[in-house]
Amino acid sequence: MSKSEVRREFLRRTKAGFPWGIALVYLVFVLGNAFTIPRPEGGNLLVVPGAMAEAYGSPVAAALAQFFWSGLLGAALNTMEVPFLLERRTLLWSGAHFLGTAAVFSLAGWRCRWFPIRESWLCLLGLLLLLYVLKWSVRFLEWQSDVWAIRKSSGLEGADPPWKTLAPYLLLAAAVELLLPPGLRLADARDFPVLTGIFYPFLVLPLFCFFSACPLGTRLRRWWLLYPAACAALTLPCVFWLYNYTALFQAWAAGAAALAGGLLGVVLRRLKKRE
Amino acid sequence: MKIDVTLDPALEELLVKVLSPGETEELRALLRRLEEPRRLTGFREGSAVPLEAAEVLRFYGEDKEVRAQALDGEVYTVRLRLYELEERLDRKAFVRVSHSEIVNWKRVTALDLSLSGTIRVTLEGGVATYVSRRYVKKIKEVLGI
Repeated sequence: MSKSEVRREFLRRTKAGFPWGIALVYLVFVLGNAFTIPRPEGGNLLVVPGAMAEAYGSPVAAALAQFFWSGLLGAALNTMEVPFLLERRTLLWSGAHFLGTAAVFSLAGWRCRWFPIRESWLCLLGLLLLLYVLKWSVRFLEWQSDVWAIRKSSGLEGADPPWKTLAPYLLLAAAVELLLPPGLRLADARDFPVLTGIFYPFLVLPLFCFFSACPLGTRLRRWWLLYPAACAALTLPCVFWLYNYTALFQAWAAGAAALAGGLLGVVLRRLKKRE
Repeated sequence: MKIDVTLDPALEELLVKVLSPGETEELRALLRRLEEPRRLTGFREGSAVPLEAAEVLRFYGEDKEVRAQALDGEVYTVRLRLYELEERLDRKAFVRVSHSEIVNWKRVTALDLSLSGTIRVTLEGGVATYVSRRYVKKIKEVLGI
């Protein structure tokens, strides 16, 4: 697709996303009101946070400002697919789009007082990142499968596709990071949870990530870099399910340990090649 | 010589059946012409060179002209548009990989997908070019996938 076509598509999606964003945000508020017990004072329907109405001086001015910001957010989200129309540097453009959307989301949240506590903003930002990562992963696997089918049909020789090497490691990481913590929690002491409080986050998780990433670094070129990101992302469900935001360090610890393990693998592969 | 054309939608490809009273010179000349691969003409430094399609790695658009890169690495200008070449060339061998390029698929040595989402095709002699993701579906159709 030519640059002008991409630009046209971007504008088309921006225009279409604006009303969707407004509708979505106001729907969230309407649903929020419906499930709020007891009902707000006076029984009025709240479409903007109270703090925002206070800051803007009147609920109407606040609603108008929120109208703009939620529209902008909808426009940003609706153009999420546009980087995939580009033939080159798709990952780079997709990453840039995420940063743009995250900036709009954060600004909108700040101006509209959507997040009374920082953790809720961080949590939603994490979910936004996860959405982009998932979108990218699905697209990438589709392309990989197409390329593999063409290679096979054309009789082109080659090693297994990287995702085939990566898949068992990801499954193992998913099992360890998603199933082990709840299992340990069942066996943990109630007064002092040593297993899930110390043993898992400070010993099992970093060691597992480090030692599982090391062979990937030796076997795959560049592709192993997906593994630290996956290790970090996989900690998130249990962090919010079994712990709370104070345990978010687990994501960094898992990612950093896997990165260090992968780098060691790369060094070992290069040393072996030199020999 | 009489020419009789029969259109049969059931046929998968063009079938030429020649009926002759005997093995004449006219028949031999006709068969030679039918069997002869379609030649192209490439232009380079003011001279015209006959190009064997099978010896061409790729055809691509450059500076509003169509170039043909031969197996030996030489680049010629072809006075045909890409869509015209697509019609003339063997569709099972020459595959459109992007808006501005047709590749001789029989000369492809590798096909890779980079982490950034770019599909790279390597031809004999290490010549590398890129496949547009929009053309992947068409390539799969040509290859019967």
